[in-house]
Amino acid sequence: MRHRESESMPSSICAAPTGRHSIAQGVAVGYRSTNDLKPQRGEIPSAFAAVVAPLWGFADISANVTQGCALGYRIASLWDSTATDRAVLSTAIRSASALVICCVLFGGAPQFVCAEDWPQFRGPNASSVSTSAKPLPTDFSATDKVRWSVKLGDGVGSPIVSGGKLFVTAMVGEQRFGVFAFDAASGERLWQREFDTGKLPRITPPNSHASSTPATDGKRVYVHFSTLGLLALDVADGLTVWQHALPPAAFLMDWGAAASPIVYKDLVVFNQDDDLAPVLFGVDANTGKLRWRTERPEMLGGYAVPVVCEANGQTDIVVGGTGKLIGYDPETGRVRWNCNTLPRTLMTSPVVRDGVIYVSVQSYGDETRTLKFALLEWLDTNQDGELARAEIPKEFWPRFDRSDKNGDGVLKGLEVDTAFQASDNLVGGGTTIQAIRGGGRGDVTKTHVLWNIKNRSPSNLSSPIVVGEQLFVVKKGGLSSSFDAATGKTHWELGRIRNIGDYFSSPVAGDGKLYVTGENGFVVVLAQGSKLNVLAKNDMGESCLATPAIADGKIFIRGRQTLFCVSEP
Amino acid sequence: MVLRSVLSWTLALCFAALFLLTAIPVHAGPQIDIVIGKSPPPLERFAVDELADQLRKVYEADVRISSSLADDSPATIFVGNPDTNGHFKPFAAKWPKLSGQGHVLRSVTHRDRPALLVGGGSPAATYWAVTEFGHRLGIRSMLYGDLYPVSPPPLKLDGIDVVMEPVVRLRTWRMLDELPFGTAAWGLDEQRRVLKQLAKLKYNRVILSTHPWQPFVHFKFNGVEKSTGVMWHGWTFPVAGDTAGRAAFGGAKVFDNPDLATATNYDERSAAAHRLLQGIIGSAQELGMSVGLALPAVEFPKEFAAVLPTSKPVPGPSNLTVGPGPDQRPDDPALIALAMAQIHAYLDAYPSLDAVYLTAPHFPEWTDAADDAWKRFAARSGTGGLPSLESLEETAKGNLDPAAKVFAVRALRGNIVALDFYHHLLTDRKWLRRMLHLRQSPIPELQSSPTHRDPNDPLDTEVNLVHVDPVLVPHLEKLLPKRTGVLHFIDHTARRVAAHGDLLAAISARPVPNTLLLTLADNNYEIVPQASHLSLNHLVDAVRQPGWVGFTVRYRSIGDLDLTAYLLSRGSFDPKVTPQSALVDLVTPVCGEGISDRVAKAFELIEQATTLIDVNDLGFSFPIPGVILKHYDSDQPVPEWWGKVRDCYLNAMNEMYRANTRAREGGRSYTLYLARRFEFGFEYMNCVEAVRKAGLAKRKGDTETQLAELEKAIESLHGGLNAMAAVARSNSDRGLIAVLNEFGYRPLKRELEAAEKSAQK
Repeated sequence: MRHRESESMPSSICAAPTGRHSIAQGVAVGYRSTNDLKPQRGEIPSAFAAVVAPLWGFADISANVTQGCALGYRIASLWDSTATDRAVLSTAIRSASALVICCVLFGGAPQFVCAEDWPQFRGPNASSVSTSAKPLPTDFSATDKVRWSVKLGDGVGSPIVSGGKLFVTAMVGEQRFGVFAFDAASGERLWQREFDTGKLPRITPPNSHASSTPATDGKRVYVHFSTLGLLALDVADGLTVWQHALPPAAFLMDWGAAASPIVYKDLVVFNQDDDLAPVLFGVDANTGKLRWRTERPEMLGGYAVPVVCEANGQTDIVVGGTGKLIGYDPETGRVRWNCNTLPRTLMTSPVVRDGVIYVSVQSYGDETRTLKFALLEWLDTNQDGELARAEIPKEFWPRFDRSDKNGDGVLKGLEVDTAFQASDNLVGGGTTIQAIRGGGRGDVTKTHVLWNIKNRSPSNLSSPIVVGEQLFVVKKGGLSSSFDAATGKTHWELGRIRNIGDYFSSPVAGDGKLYVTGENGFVVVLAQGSKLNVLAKNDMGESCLATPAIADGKIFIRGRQTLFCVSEP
Repeated sequence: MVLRSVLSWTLALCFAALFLLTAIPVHAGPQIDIVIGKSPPPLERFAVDELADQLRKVYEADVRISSSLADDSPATIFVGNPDTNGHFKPFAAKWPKLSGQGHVLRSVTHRDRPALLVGGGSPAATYWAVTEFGHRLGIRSMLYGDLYPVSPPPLKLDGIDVVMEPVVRLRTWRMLDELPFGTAAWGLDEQRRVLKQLAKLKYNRVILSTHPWQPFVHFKFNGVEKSTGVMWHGWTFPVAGDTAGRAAFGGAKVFDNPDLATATNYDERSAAAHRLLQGIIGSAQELGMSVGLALPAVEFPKEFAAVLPTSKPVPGPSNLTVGPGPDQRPDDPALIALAMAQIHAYLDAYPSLDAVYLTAPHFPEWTDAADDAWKRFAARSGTGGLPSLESLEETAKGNLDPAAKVFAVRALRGNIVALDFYHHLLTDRKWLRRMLHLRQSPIPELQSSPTHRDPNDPLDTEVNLVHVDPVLVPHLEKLLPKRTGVLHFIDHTARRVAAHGDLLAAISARPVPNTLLLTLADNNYEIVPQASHLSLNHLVDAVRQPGWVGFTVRYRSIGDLDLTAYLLSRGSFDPKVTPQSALVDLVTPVCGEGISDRVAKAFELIEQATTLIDVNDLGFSFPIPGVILKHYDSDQPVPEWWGKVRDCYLNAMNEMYRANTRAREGGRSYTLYLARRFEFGFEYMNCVEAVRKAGLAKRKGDTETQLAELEKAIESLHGGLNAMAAVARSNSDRGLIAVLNEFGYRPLKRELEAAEKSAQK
């Protein structure tokens, strides 16, 4: 393993730094780290752009924001290697300054990420929304408008993009885990790392062992793998900077791991909600050392990705889970607030916009069905209404023994209720799409819920996307619903998007369009807005579970085996 | 200087030791020597490799294979028999008398250490002895591959004494046929894989069921050259675009047998098909199985209508063949010559075949000549031989309803004409010997293959006629051409056949080689999961009786049949085997404790569903165009039994998911496949129910309900096909998905689009 010197500065503004000071720090480090990159036209993170704002004042505010980012990054390279092109530099600085002003004026600053980057699962702060002004294709296929494609191997983790580089994972053999870096523009393979997985845990199809989406701060790629824990790889060459072992996730129903890390400032945040020992980790991005860990004992297995919420003058790491949406202090990992309106199973990730957190619930069953129902339905093999030790996975035997209060070798009645689900959090299923105001303290259940709607037939609902005035969700069968994000008022409910089947991928948006990827490999393109308007149905030719990434006018679609980059010519 | 030398040597020794340590493979398990004869038959040598593989996989054993004894061997296994392995001589007294199918596992002492004899009365039987040893280690041979034990027993060579002789001597598995979800869809690699599993399960024959319109043979007759050579009745099955469950196809645009997929014309297809069939025959025979070919004797590609003026198209999905018309004479030399030409073509193309099965038309219209034919039978049998045809017709009518009486009489007369034709076809003894795959011996004293045959077993080569009408059974030996056997097709489903106890007993009393056709899954509703273990067990009981030589299975989709294949295999050697005991014995070693009850419950429900369909609508899901939309066109309400079948599938699915959840360290491939397969059955029932409701709504002019139900139907079928696709592991599974897309899913979508357009007007 190759270790790098410790770097105390946050690496990049793309990692969503807050405030001017952080921005400046980010640029400084980002600048150093980009010397060995080969930026392509336009595929440039915004780090450098931001630093010049306080230094150079604002001018040419009408400059194209995206162009500003691009030029800014290019100058970052020039800065060190040459100082000859003052004209270019000057233009770039002015453009970049304009960008920052735009962000400040129009409210995009705290979680700001340049449009060219898609640095984590579901993009900037898991929003799934591209802010690039570049046009995105409407009609495409596995062969049409494909800028490049590459066969990777099995995987359901999403690609990410930063600094013109794309990072993605795959299984490259039965017991080999691969991490790839490509030039996002050309598809040129920049590096590839492979890791022996060791004995793999049980998972349930269609999950894959390559299920986690990496995150990056522009310097390192942070990757999670169930048997390896968290890895930080150098974006330049893929070499391991650090590895942080984590306890293996254990699921009563063998769903398998699929959580993804995020980067906040210089902190890698990783939420591992399993059924055994759910926990939220804060790991130093530079060193891989644990900053804090916060147990989440009331949670059950789930896959919500943490999101950053700026509201009411505070920044929270917000994580959804069993029964609760919880805001954590990113500095300490301590709970700041909790909103107890969620159901038992939350497979989806929330989104944040303007200090409001939106949650859609991929749940199952009615509101009275606690975990006990599922346990007695699926784990009680002999269907005698009791759980014997042999009926549950070995990993849970110590917990079983603790729960078997009377020591009779079986769990029954109340023992089943509380063996794996916290006794003070015995929530059942549910049917909700919610909007919750961030920035709270303590229990905000009665104070911060803006709206909470019961959508018909909620099972298998995707994560929500909030774009424009619209909150959009899709579910199994290609049934979609859209609501007014501000009020929760229904635009349409259970409207068919003409592509039935399952939806594991989150919808993404850009260029005024919604891209909805079905498990069957069709990407349905809808017009953004309050009317259901199917623009196209595009066949990628293979199963797709990963959420696409959008960066700089390109859509990166990760099929079960193949990665496609599609764009307008 | 000395010091330097010492250091150099030390270093060199260290490196050498390091090299040796890394070069020697590390085995965690015991050391075992397998001792084989000096020139073992190929199959025996193959058996030894199989044995070594078992020991390595189950115990991580360090296995040595040698034809000489090792002095230091802690454990020795002798493989073969006294004729093939000289090392058996010291144990001659311990070697039992065996038939060619008998096999032995017997502990002996060798150099004061425990040792084991593993062998049989033939190389095939030795191979079975090896697989029996694996079975006792907990290895279970499914049709798709082997599963290994969750907790293997301690490896020991002492205390074993197993001698097995079959109680059902002919155990035949049928392959190929005509639909994409049968083994006709399998390339040679897949065929070889399943053949190996069948050999492990001690099946000793395969029948290759072919049709004249397929490209497996080419021939000319009287200036007419065969030009029809297609698969799937000529249908094509695209899987590109919006195909439900397309993940199973790996990007292919059209579903086909992979070995024939690249052929672009008749010649290429014929050549590819020949390679495939020849490959199957060779592989099966290498594994100790004999191979029979089933073909219709009086059905010819349609171009041969030109040389058979009285012929008529044979009813079928695509009218690709012709057969005798109602007034065709069975002794017509032109007909006999044409039939001979076709059969000869098969025998020339596949000269190593061991048996031929001649099938009669399924729906005989060839009836006019029955009276003359019966007179000829009466003349052949001499005085006091046969009853009158009229009395037989009365017997056939029985207590049936009027329509069924007509059908029964027609079937009887057609069968009599066909039997008379066979007499004319098979009278030429020289030709018959030629037909019997060019072997040296006359029937029934048939020669034995030098590699694996039992010289005393008369089962290896014969001509079998498929189906003799039940009314004719009491006179069977008088109606058959000499030295032919009968493969009895009594009824469509195992449940129905099991109800014919008297007929089964009557057949067993006839002094001809009788084989029973066991329907594992009936093609009339084969799309949905079926199970008939109780009935099949009853029928295996029947064929253990004298007068029967064995059974042949009938099915198309192989995916559900692991337990069935296992039950028939074990039941053929042990009369005490029951469906329940077979299930526990199959599932527990490879899936773990607590699972067999769930699997048993699931199969019980599938048997209930099978019976419900059998009783109510035998042709419920016959896989032809319109298989789904026929329910749309019906004016009948949704039958109550549909709901019961759906619930059976739903509950069976849940049971299999429970089993799958519990099978944590074991054979989850088995439980998950069945869970998904039953999920498909559940969704199929949801689909047809919605289709029926949509059709009824359409009749009422209720467009909103019609559209909603059509959407529901499409979604259900999509979900079901996706469930299948998630676990598809053979081209049968992919074929099923392809067929239902073409015949069900796409027509439904077109119907929805049409209904929507109509609604917008």
